[in-house]
Amino acid sequence: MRRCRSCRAVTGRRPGLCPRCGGKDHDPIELDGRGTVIAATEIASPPADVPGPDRIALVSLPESVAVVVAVAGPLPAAGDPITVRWDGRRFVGGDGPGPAADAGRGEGDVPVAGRSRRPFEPPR
Amino acid sequence: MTVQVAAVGIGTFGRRTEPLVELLAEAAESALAGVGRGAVDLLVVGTMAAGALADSENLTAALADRLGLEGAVGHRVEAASATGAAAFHAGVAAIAGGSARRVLVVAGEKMTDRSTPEVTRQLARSLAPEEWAAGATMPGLAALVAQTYLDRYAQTPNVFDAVTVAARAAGARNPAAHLQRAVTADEVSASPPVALPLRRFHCAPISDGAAAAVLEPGPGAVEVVGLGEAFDALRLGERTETTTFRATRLAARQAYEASTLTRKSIDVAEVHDAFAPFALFDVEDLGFVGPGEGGRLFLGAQRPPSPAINPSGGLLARGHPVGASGLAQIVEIVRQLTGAAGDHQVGGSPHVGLAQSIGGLAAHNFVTIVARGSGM
Repeated sequence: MRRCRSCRAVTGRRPGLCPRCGGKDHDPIELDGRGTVIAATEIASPPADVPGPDRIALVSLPESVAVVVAVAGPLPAAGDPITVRWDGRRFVGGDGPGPAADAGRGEGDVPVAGRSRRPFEPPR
Repeated sequence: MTVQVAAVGIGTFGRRTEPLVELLAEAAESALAGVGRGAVDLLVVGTMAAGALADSENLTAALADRLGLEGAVGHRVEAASATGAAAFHAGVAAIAGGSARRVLVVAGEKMTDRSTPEVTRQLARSLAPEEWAAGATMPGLAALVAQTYLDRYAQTPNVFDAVTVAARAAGARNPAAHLQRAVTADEVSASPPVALPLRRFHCAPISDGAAAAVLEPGPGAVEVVGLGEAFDALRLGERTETTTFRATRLAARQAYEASTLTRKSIDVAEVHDAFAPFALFDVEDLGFVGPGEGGRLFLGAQRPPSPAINPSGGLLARGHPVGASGLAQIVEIVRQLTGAAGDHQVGGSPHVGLAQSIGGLAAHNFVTIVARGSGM
């Protein structure tokens, strides 16, 4: 997460210029770690490489931005408080065990025998 | 310079056995038959994911070879699920700028060679990387925005059911539609969950198909009068609103201003209903009804609705070959304006039509307005 140095807007994970003021300098900010569920759903037919079912949620953060999270644990309801953490390649919401789909979702990591997996690094 | 749509063509949507280049050629030849065999200066090909979904690349050259367009130049255009609209806009720009006198725009996709999970995975690549790493898919994110819409306006998924019922009723009158069987609201609400509140019948099918248009300098029977195009934040959470698509509103404003028309002038519209709730967002974002009122156009409260919405059956019934849909909408509007839509022709001799296309999860949207011109 970043904050624009000029207009102080939280610009989320969007790389490049600040979408509000065009500023090019940003400072990293630490997540508070608490959020509120806006909406959540369970995906019945996840992509080919995912065991599923998958649960995702749109979560608003006190930093004035929202994120899409992988839900760890049961499906939350709108308005529920939820903890949010960044696990290196995605946001995870909830305190339960990690989603079943932890393996095999990064760029180029189609699970093919004998092929090494590159860790996925989203743009900063 | 005025740009006219001199001819259009489209093949049957659905599960097709031919390779992608043949689907493109079928639509192209159908369109070219409407103008005679003059020279094409520019070939614009639109496909979203031909390599991943159909093992095909270099399609512009392949199609030029297939059609015998050696004298032309060409390129391929991509804007996710709005690819067909983007290709059309690129063609219009070439005529308007004077760099071409005849442009052939062809857009298509071949999707049914892949399983549904494989297609879902590929389409999810239009999302931000950390969103699909979290497990998001197109229907998954569509479900999240759909739920926020229902919560904000205190509505139930019945309103989505009504969108599908209307689409499938229209599709039953369109012999080129993928899904030609009408359905009841009970059938829709009993269809299997995809990502609640979305059920299977709220989602456009995975389809093969292609569409084409020939563009020339005007005046003509149908002229391009307004184009609009806009981006929104790629990440859903970084949008300012999630019960409306800002990229549609911005594109619509541009297109209305360019055309010097308003929403009241639109007689018929094709809107992007890859998921039933999107149709509600669309008719609100285009200004046809107010925020939260989209259901009025589908629930029978206003019959016939004004403007007529998705007489082709929309993406929900005509089908959604992702690269083709944006152009298929424009083909439909041109046919409606020329009285050539057959059994699904709308009444009232429409003069002005609008097509609206959504790229990805509404990160790159297009609006196209065409009108009957002086060359009719």
